[in-house]
Parts: sequence; structure tokens; C-alpha cells
Amino acid sequence: MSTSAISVTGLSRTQGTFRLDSIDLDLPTGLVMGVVGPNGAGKTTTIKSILGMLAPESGSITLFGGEAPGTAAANERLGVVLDQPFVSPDWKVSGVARRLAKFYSAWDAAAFAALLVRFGLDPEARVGTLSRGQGVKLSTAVALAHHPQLLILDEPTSGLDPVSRADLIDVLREFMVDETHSILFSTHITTDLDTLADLILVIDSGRVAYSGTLDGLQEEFAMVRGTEQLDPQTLARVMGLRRTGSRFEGLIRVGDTALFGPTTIIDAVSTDDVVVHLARRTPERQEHAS
Amino acid sequence: MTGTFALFDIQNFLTPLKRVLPPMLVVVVAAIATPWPAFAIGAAAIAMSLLAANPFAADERGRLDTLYSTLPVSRRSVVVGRYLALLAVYAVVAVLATVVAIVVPLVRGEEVDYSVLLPVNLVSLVIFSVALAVQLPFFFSLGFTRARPMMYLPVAVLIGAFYLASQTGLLDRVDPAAVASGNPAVLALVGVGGSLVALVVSAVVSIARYGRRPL
Repeated sequence: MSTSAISVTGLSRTQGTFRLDSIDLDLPTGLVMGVVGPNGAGKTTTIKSILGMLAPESGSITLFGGEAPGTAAANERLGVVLDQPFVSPDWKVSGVARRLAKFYSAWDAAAFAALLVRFGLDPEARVGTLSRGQGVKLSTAVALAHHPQLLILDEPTSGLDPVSRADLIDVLREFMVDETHSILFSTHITTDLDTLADLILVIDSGRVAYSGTLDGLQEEFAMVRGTEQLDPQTLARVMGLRRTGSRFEGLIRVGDTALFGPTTIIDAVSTDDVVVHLARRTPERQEHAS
Repeated sequence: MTGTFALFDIQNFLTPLKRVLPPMLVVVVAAIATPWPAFAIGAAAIAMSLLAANPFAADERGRLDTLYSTLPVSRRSVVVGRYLALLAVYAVVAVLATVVAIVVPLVRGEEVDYSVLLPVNLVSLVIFSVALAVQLPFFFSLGFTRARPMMYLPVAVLIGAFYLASQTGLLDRVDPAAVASGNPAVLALVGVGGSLVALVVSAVVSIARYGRRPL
């Protein structure tokens, strides 16, 4: 039986007015899980909790089948890429490696140098002079240089040009050739996940809206489009309702399909459809959209 | 890993090297511009007390707290490593200040008063240690921006205490010569021991606060 690279049970945490509410997540070793959801849904809070940067109010998190998050033992096997590099802007690219290598028993200077060449990064450049895309590439090189088993990426592709995004996705695919490797990948660009992710976790308003395979998303949600007048009860089942003249469009659970009449069109959903319509689900947004 | 982090922190403190030049300038000016070259050692303690916040400012600027939480190093090692790094940098600056305090009178053709060097170094160590012990728990707990006023508090308290002592006549009752002629071993024990106790208590508080801080 394969162990879980990440196992999260009942993770809850309140931050100001936002509440992450009882998040469950299980990433088996050897798989890629994409985490999607609108801004402020709780993706970053979940990832920070998994990294041990935030302490959960309740629930449990284990990495690699038993390590607590944030411990030296867990971090030795973990690579992290965030939307911005988290190294000093005063350091040179080569200096980043020189400083961080001492912390890892498995730091591979040759692998780091090879990644710099592949990403076209100048070892003599100062971190502060790098573009956003170059910063993400540097973070990726740092994350991979100590041969981690688990990569955690929080929106690494946002702001990257298509070529850089494709480069990054290629590197992640190569990383996954080893079946002991796993990736947790939060992104707004759901097309990144189409060819990479085995599993998908949709978070909305601090709760898990869907957790399962990409194909399973099609079995869970559907798009509904039509012109007929909907009664209030049926209307309430439509997420992210959008009206254009007499037409309407929204997201529904597949189980609610029977509520709609024969003139209504039921379509398959994309990951984007789910994220966009969940984001519009709140009453204010529904009103605004209509 | 504590030692590794301390070396990492020292390297960051000294990068770029020009960051260390202002305190060294203060030390040299203190030795030259005052009639007491040994004052350079006290100036080193005050300058380093003010610079103790620099690593925390660098943490915020480079999001290094995020880096630390992804490295195979515990938060406890980060805290202890930073205390050790700051003490190590202070030790180097204090040695340089002592050299300056010896060289300046020699250049002037004056006699060097070696007897004051140890007591002044011990008093300076106590000043620096107390400043560190007071400031660091706030920086570890709140981060640089929110704890910034703490950067100046120890020096302000020191100046205030000195002013009060001089106004109340307390300072006149202290005989520097008597202190200087005291048993060096006892002076060292009191100075180093007292500093150590303050730093250990402070580090324990910092570990607890930093351990709970959301990053």
C-alpha cells in the first residue's frame, strides 16, 4: 500500500473574517494534485498550514506518512516554489546555492547548475534584478536541487509567459518520472493541470467543494444553459448564475439535472467553469453577474 | 543545524560588507574624537545594539522567514542561531574596537591605559547583551516593521538611566578606578555571567514566541 505524501484531516483555521473549515486532503505518493479555487478561497492558507507556517486550530497534517509539517526531517524531503522567490534580493544567484547547500544533506550543485543553464539564469545576476518569471525559475532550481520527494507549488505559473509556463510544466513532468515523487500544485491557470494533475481539489470559501480525479469533476458538476423561467427552488441550486437577456447559465451538481426542463442544455464542465462559477456563487456576486 | 544557521546569518549580516562600515566608523570616531579612546568599545556596543535589528529587516525584505520555514532547520535553531550570530559579530567588532582603543593613544604618543580595557569591555558586553535580550523577543514575535521602535528603546533607556544617575549624583559615587582595580576574574564572571543569563532568558522567550508566530 502506498503512503500518503500529504495527509490533511479536518484542517480548520480562522484568520480575521476568513475561516478555513475542515479541509480534508490526501495526496498519495506518486501523484500530482492540483488545488484550484477563486482568490481568497483558502488555497494559500492550506498550503502554509501544510508547510508548518501556520498552526491549525484543529485537525491534523502529516507528510510522508508520519512527519509533522515544518520539521527539519520533513523539509529535507520537500521542495517549495511560491509565486515570488523568498531569498534576499541582495544575493547573487550563485550565492543562493552557496548559502542553502549547507542546510541539505543531498544538495546537488551540479543539478542546480544544470537547471540554471536550462532556465537561462545568469549565476552572477542579483536576485533583485530578476524578472518575475526568472524568480520562479530560480525558486524551482532551488526546490529541485536537493532531490526532494514532494514539491509544493503555490501559484508558480501566475505571471509567467507561455514559454516559461511550458518550461516549468516540462520540469515538473520530468520530476514525476520517479514514482516516489509527488506534487501539490495550486494555480489559477487550470489548463496547467489538464496534462499534469491526477487529482484535483477545489476549494471555495474555505471549504472543499470537490476532491477527486479530473474526470470525476465531470461526474460531479455540469453546466446548465437555457431560456426558461426557473422557480426559486431550482434557481437556488444553480451556482454562479449569469443572465444575459432571457438566457441564463450556471453550474449545477449533476444530481440536480432532473430539476431542469427538456429545453435546458446540460453541458460538460471544464475546471475553469467550476472555479469561475463557484467564485460567483455568493449572493452579491450573483446579483452583480446578473 | 544551529551552527549552520548562525554561519548563514553572519554571512548575511556582512553582505554587503559596507553595511558593517557605519558601526566601525562610529568606533573609530569615538576613539579619536573623545579624550577616552576606550570609549570606542562602548560605542561599539551601542552601535551594534542599534544594528541588531538589521537581520530582521533583511528577513522582511527578502521574505526570509518563509525561506527558514522551508529549510531543514527548526524554528528553535533559527532563534538560537541568530543570537549566536549577533554575539559573534559583536565579538569581532569589540575586538576591533579594543585594537582601536590601543592604537589611537599610541599614534598620539600617549600612554595606553590597559587596566580599563577589561572593565570597559565587560560593561559594553553587558550593555549589548541587555539590549539584545530586550529587543530580540519583540522582533521574533512581531517581525521587524511592527517591533521597530524596540530598536531604539534599549539605547534610549541607557541614555535616560545615565542622565538620571548623573542628575541624582549616583554617577559621582561610582569610582571607575575602584571598578578597574577589582579582581579581573570576578569582574569577568559578573559581566559574562550576567550577560549569559539575560541572553538565555531572552532566547527562551524568543523561541516560544517565534514558534507560535504565523509566517
